[in-house]
Amino acid sequence: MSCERLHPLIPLYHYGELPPEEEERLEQHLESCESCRSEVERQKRLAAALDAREMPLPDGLLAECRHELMRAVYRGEAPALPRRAGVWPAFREGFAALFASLSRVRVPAGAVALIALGWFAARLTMPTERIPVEPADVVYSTIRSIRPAAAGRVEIAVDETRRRVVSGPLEDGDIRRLLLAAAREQENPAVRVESVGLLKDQPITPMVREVLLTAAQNDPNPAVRLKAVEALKPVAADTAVRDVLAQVLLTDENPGVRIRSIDLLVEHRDGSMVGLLQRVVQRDSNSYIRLKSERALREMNASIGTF
Amino acid sequence: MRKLCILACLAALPAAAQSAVTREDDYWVRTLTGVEALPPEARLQVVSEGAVVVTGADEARLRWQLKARTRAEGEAEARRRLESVSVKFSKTAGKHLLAVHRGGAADAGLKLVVPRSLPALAVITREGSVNASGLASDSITLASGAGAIHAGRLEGNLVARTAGGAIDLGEIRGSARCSTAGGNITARHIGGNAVLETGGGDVDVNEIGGDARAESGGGRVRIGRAGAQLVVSTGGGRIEIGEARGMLVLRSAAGAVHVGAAPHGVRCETAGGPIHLSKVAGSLRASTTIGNIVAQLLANRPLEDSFLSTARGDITVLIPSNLSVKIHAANELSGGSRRIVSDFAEITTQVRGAQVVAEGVLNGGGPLLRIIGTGGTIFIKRQ
Repeated sequence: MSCERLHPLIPLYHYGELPPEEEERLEQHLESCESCRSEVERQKRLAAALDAREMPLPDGLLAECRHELMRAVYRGEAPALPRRAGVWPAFREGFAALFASLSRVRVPAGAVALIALGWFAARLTMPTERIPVEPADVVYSTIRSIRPAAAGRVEIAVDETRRRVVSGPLEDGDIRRLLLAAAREQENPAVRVESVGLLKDQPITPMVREVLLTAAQNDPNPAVRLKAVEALKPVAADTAVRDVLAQVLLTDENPGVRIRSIDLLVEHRDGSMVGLLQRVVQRDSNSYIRLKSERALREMNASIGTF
Repeated sequence: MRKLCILACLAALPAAAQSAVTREDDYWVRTLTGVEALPPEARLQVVSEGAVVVTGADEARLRWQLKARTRAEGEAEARRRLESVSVKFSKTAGKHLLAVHRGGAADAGLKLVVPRSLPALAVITREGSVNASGLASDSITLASGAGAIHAGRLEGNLVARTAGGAIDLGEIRGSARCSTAGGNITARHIGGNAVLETGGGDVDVNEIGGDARAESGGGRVRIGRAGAQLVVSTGGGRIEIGEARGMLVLRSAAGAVHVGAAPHGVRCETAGGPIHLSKVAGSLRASTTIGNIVAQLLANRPLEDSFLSTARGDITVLIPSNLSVKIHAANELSGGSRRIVSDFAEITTQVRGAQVVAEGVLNGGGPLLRIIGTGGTIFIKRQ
């Protein structure tokens, strides 16, 4: 394997993200390549420097990154982070502008930065208290590597996943935190369907609201989006929620999800919706949605069409 | 002679009567009523622009009442708007038509009482709910451009369509074909075949007598009992089947699958979620991308060649001690032979490359049961 091909893999190797076969190939190459060994050392120094400069990151950043990645994979489109006012978007824009000129190294540097950010976020967003668990005996293990060690010994790296069963009432903070994580992070859509369905009947805290808004707008699965929109009913008068519902109404491909959105939007109609409803009357293929919009416009004494 | 003149004048009066404009809460209201004779063989179509309630009765006539409402600054304005409301009854090509024109009214609710046993009845409204009960027509069509559909007790076959809104059925003796672009579909009992389709929403039916197909673009599907073949698919959501007396075909893009009893075979696929199959026999094929599978095979019912597979999770098969079957189980990427656990001495386990494989013949052998896991543990248990 050439150094050129292996260099981009070194950051992944450092964070233990390479598949076992690739890791083995890279390690064999390292034994004979001074240049790549020094690249690994450089990677270690970079990671150490980043470790020393920890910065506060928003809660749920890791979940958001993973969610965006999953969305992109499912829908085959570029990840689009939701637009939000505040310090974090400004930081992202500044970061992008700073590195705009370094187009040649943008991809590998971006990969390193994303991995590092993800790692920090995982560290920072891990619950601090211990969650009550019932230990289970089920342990899944994969042998990651085997290598000879000194004095005739052998070193075997085993990755182990231990299953735990966590139980408690829905009102329990730890349970709710796990449900939120499941709604955002799980690559298993069935888990997201179930968790959003359970969150639907819970009080809507800011964190729950954020998760539901993201799911309503971005989840690749229509059942998750549908449940998320239904769950937003108690906060349907909120401006941020209405913005997302409007977006869903205009863009969601599933008529059931759009129907739930228009139902919630017209329950709290106001003058700012006129343009949206006029567009919907002209564009939506579903007669229920068009009629519901028409009726709302009539009741607001607004014209049905645009001139 | 005078009496004859009076009778002639009365006969010339229109069947419909109308009320003055009255006030109800924030609305001005005008109510129109009418009675029309309908022969027993009549085919009736009702076309309206608001909510419709239709009830069957043992009489040979059609009675209707239309209540039109509007908001207006004053009575004169209200009267002008409500006078444009009209109801026309006509007969063309063997079909009777009752057509409601809402005119300037904000809404117009129609109530109908029709002969119970009309051969065919179709109620179509531009918007608003449709509610039907007490009918024994062979063919009943209920359609709304926007609104819920409720059907109570119907003897015949039903077609229910709405562009948005729930469909709620009580006791349907015949077949039912229901579709909504978005909304839940619920039914207590459908005696014949059923096709239930929603663009997004749950499907929940206690019992279906005949063949059935239930589809949701995203939502849970629950069928308590299916009398014959049942095909279910959902874009995401749990599938729960109590009992199926025919072949079961289940597909979910995301969600758990639970089957109480399926003695005539199951095809089951989910892109994510556990699968739990109780009391199954016949041909069994179940696969999930992520999730555990539990399959409990029936004693005293023949098993056909079957296949269980998960890409991530455990598989548990409960086999009656007297069932004749040949087992082939393979578990990839496992760390040791403990990843296949068997209660049967006849099943031997060995490592073949990256796989742990367990094979054996139970009770002299029979159809092949293949169990394929990736990671996780395969349990082959005696029951």
